[in-house]
Amino acid sequence: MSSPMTSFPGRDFSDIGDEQARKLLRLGMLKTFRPVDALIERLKATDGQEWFRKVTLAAPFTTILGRGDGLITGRVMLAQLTALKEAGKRQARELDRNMRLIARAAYDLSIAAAIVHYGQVITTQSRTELLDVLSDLAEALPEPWAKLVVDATEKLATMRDGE
Amino acid sequence: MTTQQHPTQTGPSQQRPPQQRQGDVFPATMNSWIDGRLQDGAAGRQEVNRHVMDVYAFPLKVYFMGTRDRWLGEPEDVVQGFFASRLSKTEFFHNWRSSGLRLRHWLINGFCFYLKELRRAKKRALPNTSSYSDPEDEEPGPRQAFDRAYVVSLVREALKRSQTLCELEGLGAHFEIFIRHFYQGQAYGDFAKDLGVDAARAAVMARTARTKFQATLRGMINQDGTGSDADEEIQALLEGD
Repeated sequence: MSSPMTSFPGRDFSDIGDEQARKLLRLGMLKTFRPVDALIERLKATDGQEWFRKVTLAAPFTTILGRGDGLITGRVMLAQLTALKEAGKRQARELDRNMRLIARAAYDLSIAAAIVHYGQVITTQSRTELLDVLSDLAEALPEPWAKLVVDATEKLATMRDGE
Repeated sequence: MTTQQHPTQTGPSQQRPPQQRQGDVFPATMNSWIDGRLQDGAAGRQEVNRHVMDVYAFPLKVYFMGTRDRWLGEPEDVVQGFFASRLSKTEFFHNWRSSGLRLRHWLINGFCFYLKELRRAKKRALPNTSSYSDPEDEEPGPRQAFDRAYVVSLVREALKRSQTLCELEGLGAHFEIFIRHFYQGQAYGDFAKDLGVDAARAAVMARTARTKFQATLRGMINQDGTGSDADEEIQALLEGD
């Protein structure tokens, strides 16, 4: 790293307010099990990569996009990405676990693709929360999907809330 | 800033128990940090006392300011008097352990007794001051103010300790980025270039420092708790329990 600074003056944080303290206190909580964690766990299983290859060939990817690889190439409209995300949310209510996992993949990958190809954040999740989710997901995905999600995190990190 | 070695700092003399759960660097053994230090004689005792004063002086002052006992003296003097009176007693922390209470609740109970003692002493010294009636024992307002001040004090101390820890480990820049983003609310893209990194790298660096802060905070909660889960303690504090 070529950081021009490696040391910073110490602070005593005497200006911290109630709300700021409560926000930072929340950071002390270990992650509760997030919906994306089930997907990450599945991707990290021994047959995870094999399983994922079939994911983009299934609904809701096929029903909305025809071919899931449009998410990678960018040959996809923003409206389709929003539709895919919404279809993922609906499918996440299915009783079948595999269907729910595919739904979660559709949800997260549509968000990542919208950031990469359109510079749009199509979710109301906070930037910090979304960065965490996508960073963790990228580590579990095979290429070229991992790159798509890493690109999304890099772009997201440059965006301000509300963009 | 204090320079003593806290359990949240990985100094050369400290060893972490093996096979600790990832993400929770303060396993159950750290709950006995106070017990451990108390067995280290006067130096250990001093370390425990300093920890208690660092974290609890501010919330106790806030509590005192909210009571009808304000006439008893200056908040700083009263709180320091309480510490001098109670922390010197060897049985103070043993009794806390036996009580099963969270340390902050034990301290505030002790503080209420101390205020009662002060009132009696003042009355004895000034017998004609009949207007100094005993206030109600339970006043929810000051207690709530104490809990809010405790959160502020706890987080502030955790920030200071994790800052020291990051500096010691050569992660000063990581901590700076963590502060800019999580404390000052700046977007990575707005300041990363000033620090010589891109926004994505800044986010990764902030996560490293955040992990240190999280571990420090959880360690402090565990050492003052009753063995209950740190997540539950945090939830209780956020809900104003």
